[in-house]
Amino acid sequence: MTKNRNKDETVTQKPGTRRAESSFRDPSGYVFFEDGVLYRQINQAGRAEYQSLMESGLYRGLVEDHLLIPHQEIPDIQSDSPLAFKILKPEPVEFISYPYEWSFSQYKDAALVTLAIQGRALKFGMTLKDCSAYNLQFRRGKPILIDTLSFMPYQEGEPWIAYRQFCQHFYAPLALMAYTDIRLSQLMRVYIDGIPLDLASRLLPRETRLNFSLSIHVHLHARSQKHFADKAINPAMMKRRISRQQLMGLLDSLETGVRRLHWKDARTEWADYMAAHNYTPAALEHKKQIVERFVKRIQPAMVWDLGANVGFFSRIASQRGIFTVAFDLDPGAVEQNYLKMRAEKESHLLPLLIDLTNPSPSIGWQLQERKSLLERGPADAVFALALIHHLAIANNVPLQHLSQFFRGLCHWLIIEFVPKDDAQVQRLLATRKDIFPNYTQSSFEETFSEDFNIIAREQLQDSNRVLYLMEKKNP
Amino acid sequence: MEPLNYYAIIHLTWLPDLLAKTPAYLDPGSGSFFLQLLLATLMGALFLVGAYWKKVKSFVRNLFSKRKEEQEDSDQKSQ
Repeated sequence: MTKNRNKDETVTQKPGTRRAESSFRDPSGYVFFEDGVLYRQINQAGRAEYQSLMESGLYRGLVEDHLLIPHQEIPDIQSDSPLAFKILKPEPVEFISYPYEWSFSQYKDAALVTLAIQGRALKFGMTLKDCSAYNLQFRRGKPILIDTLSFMPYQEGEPWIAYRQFCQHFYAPLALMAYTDIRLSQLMRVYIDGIPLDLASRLLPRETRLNFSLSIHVHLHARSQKHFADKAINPAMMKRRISRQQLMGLLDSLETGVRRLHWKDARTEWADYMAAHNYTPAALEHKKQIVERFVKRIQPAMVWDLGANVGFFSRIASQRGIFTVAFDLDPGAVEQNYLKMRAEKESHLLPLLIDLTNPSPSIGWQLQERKSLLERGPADAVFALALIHHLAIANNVPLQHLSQFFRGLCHWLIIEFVPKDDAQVQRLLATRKDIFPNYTQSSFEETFSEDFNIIAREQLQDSNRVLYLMEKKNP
Repeated sequence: MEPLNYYAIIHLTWLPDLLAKTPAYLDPGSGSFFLQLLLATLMGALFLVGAYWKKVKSFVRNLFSKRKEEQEDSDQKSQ
């Protein structure tokens, strides 16, 4: 790190430009924002890598197959840094998400895309020099590599430098989700450079030692790391080589290992999502019509659907071509939503795993490498349908705090008030004391009116629930 | 498996850079590095076996599908 830092100190920046906080490790270049637009600077140090990517035909092939983010070279923007070689303008990604927010199949698809890219790179005489899961993002419904500088020329005989990172960022988390517990994807929130393999090895069930891929790439890998941790490196070992075919074998073995991982509970335990609500068919249809009317009226550029379940209402927006992020705290719901989205090739929807009572924090170096959920907002519009009782009653959040929370998240708010006599609220109150005298419709309206103007209010058919369209008040 | 892109490898304007020392910034980790070296022979062998196995499978599959087609053809002729 010291080495990189010394290099960085010679980089001057024009006023109005802001270097992305996560972009500091690779001396080949970095990402910055100018007037809100994202650019990537290639440094002289990354010149050969970039030219070989472009001239080998690898870039064209990957972009055609939607595996790598396309970019334009921007000659008009001159960097005042002597280190600069070129400035690129990558096509934007609507919403940056992180591995701990992905469902099992999202994570698995990202891993397989990474291996496919590495396999392709080798055919063009190049190799991935890093394998960070954060370099993969979901765009138009599919994972795509966003780091144009992740490639370097492959030299016959070299082992894969990113093998450790692939195992820590992809294989170990997926194996833990499949074999131990789906919730262990959250370990990625704690370990920013992937799950330590000795920890993964300890957490995986004993029988995974009989699984060939896992026994090698996780269990033996962890032991090898431990074995060599305090050993002096024998120079004769450094001279040993691994042939291209052997390297292809390693990739093949990883790919087979990843492909064979399945989350077994996904289709059974969580099967009955939409059946679990308590609307009559008429009420559900009415709710859908109201949300449609509201969306048509406000024409938002981007929607965040909070508590989206399997994305029934998210699709009202996404099917109109509005980019919609469908958040839910249930890994099964997010998985089902993603599988449906993938099967139907939907391109404006992004299902993600978020617990709103403890949303993704900012993490990493100086707490700035990966952004918190709130830092990635605000959205144009937020849906909070059948959500508020979970926050206000199950999590004891006062209405005033809720109103302020939504105020920070959006301009338009489509929110459903679920009154106390509703069966779902009664269920939440069944085993506890009712300490919520202020949880009433009038108090809800009064409180939210401090931050929002109520534009429309519609009572749901066959139900006491009320849907609101609200617009944020000016500060 | 697609053939190697020899064109890309031969027509290198950046050959000198290629031969320069690898400009990697990531520490591969000695344990991970040597594990690959230790596994190399095994991985290479498995890859070869896998590739031949695929060929055998597709050969057998083709054989049967050809027979099926021939069967269907002769069935049609006899009709």
